[in-house]
Amino acid sequence: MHPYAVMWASDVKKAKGKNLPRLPEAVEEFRKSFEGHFYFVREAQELNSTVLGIMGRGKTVVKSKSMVGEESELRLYLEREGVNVYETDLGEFLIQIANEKPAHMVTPAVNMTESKARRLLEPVVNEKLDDIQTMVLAVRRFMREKFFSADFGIIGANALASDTGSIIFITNEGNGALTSTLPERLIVITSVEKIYPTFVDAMKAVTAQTVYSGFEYTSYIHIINGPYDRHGPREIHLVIMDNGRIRDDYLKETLYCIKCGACQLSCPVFQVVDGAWGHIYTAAIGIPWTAITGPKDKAKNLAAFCLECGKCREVCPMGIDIPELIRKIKES
Amino acid sequence: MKVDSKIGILRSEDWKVQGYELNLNESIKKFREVFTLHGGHFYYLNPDEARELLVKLILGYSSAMYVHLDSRTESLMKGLAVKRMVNLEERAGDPGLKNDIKTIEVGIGKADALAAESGALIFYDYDALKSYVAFLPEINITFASEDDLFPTVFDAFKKFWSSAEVMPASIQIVQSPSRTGDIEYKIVRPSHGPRELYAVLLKGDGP
Repeated sequence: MHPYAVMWASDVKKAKGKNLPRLPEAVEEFRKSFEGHFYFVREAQELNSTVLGIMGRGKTVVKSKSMVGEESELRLYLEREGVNVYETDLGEFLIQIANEKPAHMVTPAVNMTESKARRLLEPVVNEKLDDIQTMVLAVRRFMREKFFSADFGIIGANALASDTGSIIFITNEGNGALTSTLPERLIVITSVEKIYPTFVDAMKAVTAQTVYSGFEYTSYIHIINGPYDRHGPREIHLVIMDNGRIRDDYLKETLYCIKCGACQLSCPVFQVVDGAWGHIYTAAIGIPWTAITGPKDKAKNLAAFCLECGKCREVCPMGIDIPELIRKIKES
Repeated sequence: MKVDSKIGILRSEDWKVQGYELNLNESIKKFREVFTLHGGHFYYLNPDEARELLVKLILGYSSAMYVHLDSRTESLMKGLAVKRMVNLEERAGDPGLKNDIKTIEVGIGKADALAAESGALIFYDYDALKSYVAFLPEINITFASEDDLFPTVFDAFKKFWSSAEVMPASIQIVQSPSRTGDIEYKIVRPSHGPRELYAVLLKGDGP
């Protein structure tokens, strides 16, 4: 499968290298190509207020997974402001019901047992759930009505292409497809380092992310180029966030991250304590991400647990020297 | 839409995947291998056999919808014994359409391209109708012609951009039935998308 994945990971790194030193210009280039309503925000709270400003209170929203949304705690904010939000990714739905934070960038409920998932789901779906299969089918039935009645869909993006103004995101469940085609209005939330110069670069990036996340393939790749005719979203709003990414210090190496999560799974500390070691982003590359997006002193405290074994650096498709970044955070 | 410049950009891209070339038979073999490995069902049939298969697959289901079939695949649909059959194109623009397709069990469509290396079905969607057929029902049956089969997704894109005049609102790439491993990494099917996925490649000239 994808025998050229290693070569493409190298191409992705080169493509990122073109944009990362000039992110403000890259944002402007994407804005010019994008067929929709475009918003650039500096801070996480600004992302939240912008999304609320687009939709208004009292709405029903279906949402697919977004680490940017986790950074800003978008769902909690919208819920406080009187918006009904349904997380449609199963792992995110479990996290929502449990009122917990994601344990992993790709599989947020990786630390949750079947019995805990059952205890969480049964009162929500109002059914007796025997096994994982019946749990997933019950969630399918529960969520199907929400997809059809939602006023807005909110999705994240894995990659953006500046030349075509395209948004690319990947899922296995099919929730992203329904979130992005059934409601009449779509909001995309993402961050500046996801912009690639070309459509080809962006396609290679999502392939590399899939392969290195350990999934070998993803069930669905969705590419949005603009609003639909006649059915589907007639309005697309894209909110793109900085939140500490536009910078010129040692931490900017973190921006090469394609969020495959391979480093987390290889980390011996993560394997023992999972999502407890982190803030929004957990383990390995999660520590530099915390230094960028969250409180710096939080990152320093978390960095203390790193063994500097180097396993994360070995598996990283972008060759990020994660232990070195963490060491510098420790010394900062 | 700023169509011309974007199509022009995509036409000038180098879509070559280094060292990966397959002829038709090799592509069929590769597509079958990968699509089946990913949980899909693949058939390579003449139109009469495809019609027999279609009748067998929809047996027991009372509702189906279809969209954007070419003349060859549309002829396979004639007289199918389904209690409720919805032609989405005839209902395009109808605000009541979404409500009517909420519980439809079978979706029948035609892929714009297949990619052998990743076992992918590719749809260029302008009005969300192909997406509804591909993602909403429990069962999705997708037809394709030999001309639609390419070694890789990039080869399929190269062909599409060479003649496309309008940028599709979305491109959907489907590589397996819907699945999730979010609980204890145990893979179950389906999640929100189709439980079963059928790709039927029609022998001979299309459409």
